[in-house]
Amino acid sequence: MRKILVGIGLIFLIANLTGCEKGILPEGREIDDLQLVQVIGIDKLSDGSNDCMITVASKNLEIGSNKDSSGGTGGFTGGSTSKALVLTARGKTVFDAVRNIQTHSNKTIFWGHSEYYLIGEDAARENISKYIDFFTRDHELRIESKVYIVKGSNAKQLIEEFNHSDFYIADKLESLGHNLKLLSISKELKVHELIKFLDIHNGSARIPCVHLTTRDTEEGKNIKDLECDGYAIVSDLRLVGFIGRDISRGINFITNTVDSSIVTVKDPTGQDVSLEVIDSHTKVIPRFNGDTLESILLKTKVISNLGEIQSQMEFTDESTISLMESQESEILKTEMKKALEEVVKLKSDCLEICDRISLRRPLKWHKIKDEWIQIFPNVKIDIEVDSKILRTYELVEPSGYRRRE
Amino acid sequence: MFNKFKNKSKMEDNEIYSDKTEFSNMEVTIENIRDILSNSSDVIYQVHYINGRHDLPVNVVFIDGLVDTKIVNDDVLKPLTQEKVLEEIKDFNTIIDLIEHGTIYHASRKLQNDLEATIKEILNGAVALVFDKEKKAITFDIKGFDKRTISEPTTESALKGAKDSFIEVLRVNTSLVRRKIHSPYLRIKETIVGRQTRTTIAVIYIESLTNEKLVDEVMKRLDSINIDGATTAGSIEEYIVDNKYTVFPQVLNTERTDKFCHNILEGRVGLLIDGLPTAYIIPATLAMFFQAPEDYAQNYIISSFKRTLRYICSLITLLLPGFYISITTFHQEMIPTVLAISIIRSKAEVPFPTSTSIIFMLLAFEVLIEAGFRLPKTIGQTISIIGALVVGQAAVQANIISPVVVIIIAMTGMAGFTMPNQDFANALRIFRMLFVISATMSGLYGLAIAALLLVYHLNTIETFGVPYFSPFVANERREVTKDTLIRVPLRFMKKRPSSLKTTNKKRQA
Repeated sequence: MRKILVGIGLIFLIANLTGCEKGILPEGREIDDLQLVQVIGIDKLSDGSNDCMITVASKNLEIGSNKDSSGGTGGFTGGSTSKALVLTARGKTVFDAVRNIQTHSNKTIFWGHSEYYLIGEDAARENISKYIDFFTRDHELRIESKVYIVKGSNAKQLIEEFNHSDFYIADKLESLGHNLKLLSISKELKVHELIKFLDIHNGSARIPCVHLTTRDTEEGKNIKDLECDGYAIVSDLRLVGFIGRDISRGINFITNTVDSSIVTVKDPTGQDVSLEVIDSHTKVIPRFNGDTLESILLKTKVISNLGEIQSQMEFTDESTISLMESQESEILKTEMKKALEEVVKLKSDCLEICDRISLRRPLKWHKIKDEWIQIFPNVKIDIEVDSKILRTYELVEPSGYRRRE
Repeated sequence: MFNKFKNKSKMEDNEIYSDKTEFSNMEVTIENIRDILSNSSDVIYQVHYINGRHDLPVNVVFIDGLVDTKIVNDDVLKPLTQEKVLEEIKDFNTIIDLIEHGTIYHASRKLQNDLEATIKEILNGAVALVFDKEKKAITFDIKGFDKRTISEPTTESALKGAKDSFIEVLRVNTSLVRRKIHSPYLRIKETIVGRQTRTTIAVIYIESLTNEKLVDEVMKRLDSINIDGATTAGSIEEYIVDNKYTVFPQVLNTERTDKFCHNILEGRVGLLIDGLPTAYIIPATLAMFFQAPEDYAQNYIISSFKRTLRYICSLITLLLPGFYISITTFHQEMIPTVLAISIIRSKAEVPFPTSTSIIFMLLAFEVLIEAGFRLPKTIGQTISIIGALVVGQAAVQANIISPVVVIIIAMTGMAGFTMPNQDFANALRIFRMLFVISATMSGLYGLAIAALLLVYHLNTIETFGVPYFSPFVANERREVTKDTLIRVPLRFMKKRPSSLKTTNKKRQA
């Protein structure tokens, strides 16, 4: 009997000492009453009211069930044929808007499955931190979600216009994330990585961008499509500029975040040869004179494989290989240089160079770390690229080269 | 007030044994035997003249149906009439002496001076020659009743291994054990339980190997049983276990002779009950309910894989319905998005909450099992058709149950069927319901508390001095890995389980 009493007492204590304020037992809700939001767009209203606007997209589950969409109230857009249910709401703050959006849906909006945050350009230009604070603070939202900046429009417009296409926006963003690994023009960024980056780099960051394009189909119809597009550069918590996809690969090379990329060079006959970058590593070597940082050397080693040869010439020649290697080095060096110049111009400390210096020369770094923001734009940065072509995949020589002899 | 009750119960005890004391004082005469056995139609009393002489009558008593009539004719009555040696004798004492020493040549003959023993022998299938004047009887054990042949085990089948199983006759069962263990130290102690049924129970162990205290404890508990009859398995099992309030089985029952002998050799005590084809192994621990006989017949890697699978299945059958309720009603963020969307799709038109449909389906599943047991084998198949069609297909099509719930229940049920012991599987089913209820109330938090309670409960059980959770809890070091989640090659199992405290610790050199 005593045992049972002790047991009951223990269970009572366990149940009451959970730290929950309301009630003893947690509150449950049925899964089919939830609307799983996967993409959240965050915008600043341009009517001068300083209000926020939230646009959420969740999968339209009524497709194929032959039932008319019951429609919603308020900002309910997207009929039964579109892939996503899009809801919009405004509020004084993000949290306010998030609560207001609930009134537009017949189900409970569930934020635990949000995967992508799209921040409109206007909002990003005002203050990044202001708009993502709620998403990192609230317990229901995931800090594993990925952040994109919408280039050239606001998030609501992007989500709504893309909803007219044949794809579901979360699926499309997922496939874009995979493409980024193949192209290395930018890199997916999780929201917890972003806040950490902002904190240790004086409010600077680089955030991948997406933008809406129009693509022509065979029937001459325009369809809307999403494209990934370089980096948005943040300085002092504000969006200050973009690095386009033509040179944004340089940033990936500087920050060692290249997974794979294609560099096209010319062979001695003037035909195109494609090289696939399979590995690269950039060393940041600071040169100090006393306690002052004189210059920084970025020493990049690139290893590539020969992926495609359009001519029929013989390639076993070492001089041909080294010619192509030097061309590759030159191309990558230009890209890195241009990207670096652009970033320096925007006065953003988003290239992680400071981290690498602090690891390499911790004592010296300690002395310059307070003035780093002033030092960085003025310090001379040299770039050295050393390329190496290792393999040629299944074929050594292109077929048909003997014919020319 | 309490003393009053105590006195009363003591009095009852005396009443129970009063009949016994009565006829221990009586003499062995045909009158007394007739008094006690009365004139039941199957008790045969005959008067036989030895060598046809009227001055030498002898009473023959036996129970029709229990003895082999042919042997009675040829081996007892024929020599009694025709044996030349008996012709000359005039007094009964010499005759009794001669019969006792082989004139009537039957292997099992006994001179009885005691009425109680004589009647016991008659009821066990003996023929008694009662000599009224001398107040003595000679009994010949000529059991000849019909019994089931030794057949293949029905509930615990194994691909490899012995195919004989215990039957209802105790003597046959002990012979099956003797045939497997030839050791001269194999001991079969018998005791009688049941005031009316007088069921013989054999306690089997190996002397100088098994812990003597364990044997004594088993004997003590058996002797303290004071019931009318031991006709069902529970009548022994329930009276000898330590924890009377748990749903978990504390003795292991088996119908396989090889499993029985394996455990005897491990240092446990076996129990055979006359009239029951199931044998008991004492004490049982939790790990034993995961051991199947084939585990020791197959390659150790395969056995280990199956053993691990059984442990995982026990967790699945316990936790899966509760876990499903938890994640779909409390922790939706745990489900991968794509899966969450398909669960939502499948549940869209279903009116009931997840917990209701899970509980409903679990009950339906229990009903199916129970109905399957009750129905005769020939129409048993209809149950599966009705169950599969009505509960499964139709309920899903009518949007009463979500198909995901059906899958969950099916997985739970199938995982439960992998348990080698039915009693243990039943215990898991009861706890599964507890888990479902606690998950309904508070999700994974409730599930965790319920799991804690289960582990606590298992740790409170102790059977015959052995912790139920051993070898997982006691200080048994490397034994934990030897015959539990994995089964190591037999040559590594050098010692008997230390929790049994056997006299002989090594089982192989």
